[in-house]
Amino acid sequence: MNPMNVTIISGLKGNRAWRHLATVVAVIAASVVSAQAQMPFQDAKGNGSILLSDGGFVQLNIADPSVRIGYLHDLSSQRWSIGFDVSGKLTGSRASLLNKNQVAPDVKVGLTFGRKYLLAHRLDLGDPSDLQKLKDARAEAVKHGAKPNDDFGEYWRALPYDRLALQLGYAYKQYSLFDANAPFDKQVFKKNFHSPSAALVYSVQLSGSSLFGAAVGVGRSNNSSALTEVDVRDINSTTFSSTVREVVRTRQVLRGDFRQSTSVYLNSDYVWYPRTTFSRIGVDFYTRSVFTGIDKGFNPGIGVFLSEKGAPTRVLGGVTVSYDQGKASVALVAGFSFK
Amino acid sequence: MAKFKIETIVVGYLFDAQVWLEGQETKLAYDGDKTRKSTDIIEVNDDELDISFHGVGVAGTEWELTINELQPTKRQLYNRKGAIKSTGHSLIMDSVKLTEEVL
Repeated sequence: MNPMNVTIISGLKGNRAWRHLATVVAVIAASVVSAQAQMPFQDAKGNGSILLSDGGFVQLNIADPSVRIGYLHDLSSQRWSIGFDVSGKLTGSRASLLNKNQVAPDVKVGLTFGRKYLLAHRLDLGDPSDLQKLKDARAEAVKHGAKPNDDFGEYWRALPYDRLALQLGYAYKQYSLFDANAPFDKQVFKKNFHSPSAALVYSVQLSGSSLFGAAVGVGRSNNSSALTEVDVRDINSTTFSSTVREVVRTRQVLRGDFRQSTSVYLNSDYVWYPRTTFSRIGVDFYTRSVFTGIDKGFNPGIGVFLSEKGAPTRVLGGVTVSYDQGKASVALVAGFSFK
Repeated sequence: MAKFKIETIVVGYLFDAQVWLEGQETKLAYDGDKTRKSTDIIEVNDDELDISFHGVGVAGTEWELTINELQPTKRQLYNRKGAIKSTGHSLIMDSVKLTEEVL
C-alpha cells in the first residue's frame, strides 16, 4: 500500500444558516420554558438596547444561529430584579454548553441586575397623593361616560415604566484558523477567544405605542466575520492491488489575519407601534456605534417586527436592514415563545 | 372583621402589574412568562372586597385578572379581562361582594 496525504483547500458557498433552519425549529419546539429578560428587538448580530420585558421566550437569530435561554427573578412589589442567561451556538440539532466537562466553544453566560421605576413613578395607593390623583382620573372618566368600575387607564397620562439594568457577561469561542505560511503540521490550528463584557442598559416606555432604549458597554470583538471560510481536506490514499482507497477528513476553517480588540459601544433603539397596525407591527429605528477597536464605526438601521395578537412584545419575527460604510445588510430574526 | 386567604393571578405580557386588595398591595411573583401570582391574608371590614389593578405595557396588550378565595372556602371571587389603553396603562377600581356565591 502506498499512503499519500493530500491537503485540499476549497472555498465555501452559500449561507450555512439556512441549512440549520429545519433542525433549529425542532430544537426550539423541545426547548425549555421560561427565559430570562430578553431584548425582543435585536439586529442581525443579536444586539439591542430595549430590556423591558422580563423574558418568557427562547429566541433564535437566523443570521447568527444560536439558542438563548435563561431566568429572571422579579417581584411586582420590589424594584430590584436579578437574572441569568445561557446561550449556545447551534451545530446540527443541538447547542452544546459542556463537552466532556469542558466549556464548549460558542458559549455565552450573562448576569442581569435591574432596577425599575427610575424616572417613571411607581403607583402607591398608600400615598394619599397618588390615591387622590387616581380618584380624579376616574372622576374624569366617569364625566366622559364611563362607569366607575370601567378601565380608566386612558385618563392616566404618567410615564408608564422604565428600567435600568447592569448586564455582565462572558463568552467563549474557539476558532479554527488556517495559515498557509506555517509548517505543514501547524497550518490548521485552534484559537481561543475570551470575551468578558459589561453594559448599562436603560429602557423606557414613553407612551402606549413607543419605547426607547440606550445601552453603553464594553466587550471584546474580533474580525472573524471578515476572514474567508475555507474547507481544508486531508486525503490519505492507499493502494491495494488495483484498488485505490481514499480517506478524507474535512475541516472548516478561517483563512486570514485574525485580530481581536476591546470595543466600547453605544446602542440605541426607538420602537414605534403604529396605531393602524393594532400594535402587531413594531418599527425599530436603531443605531450601533463602536468607538474603539476593529469594529469602530457607526451603523444605523431599521427593523420591522411582527408580534403576537394581544402581546406586542412577543416578537414572532422580523427583518432588519443595517448600514455599514454605505453598504446595506439584511437579516431575518425569529422569536419563539413557549409555555 | 373577617380574614380571607386570597389568591391573585394576573395573566398577560405586561411590563408590570400591581394589585391592591383592601388597599394592601399584593406581592405578585412573576414566572418569567406571562403570569404573576400572589397569595395573601386579607382582612375585610365589610362584606365587600375592594380591588384595584394597575397594568403597564404596550397599548393593546391583553390581560386577565382573577381573584380566588382559598380559605375559608375555595371559590372564584372575581375575573376581569381587558387590554392596555393608548396611554400604556390599565387602571381598575372595583369591588366584589363576599357574602354572595360567585360563579
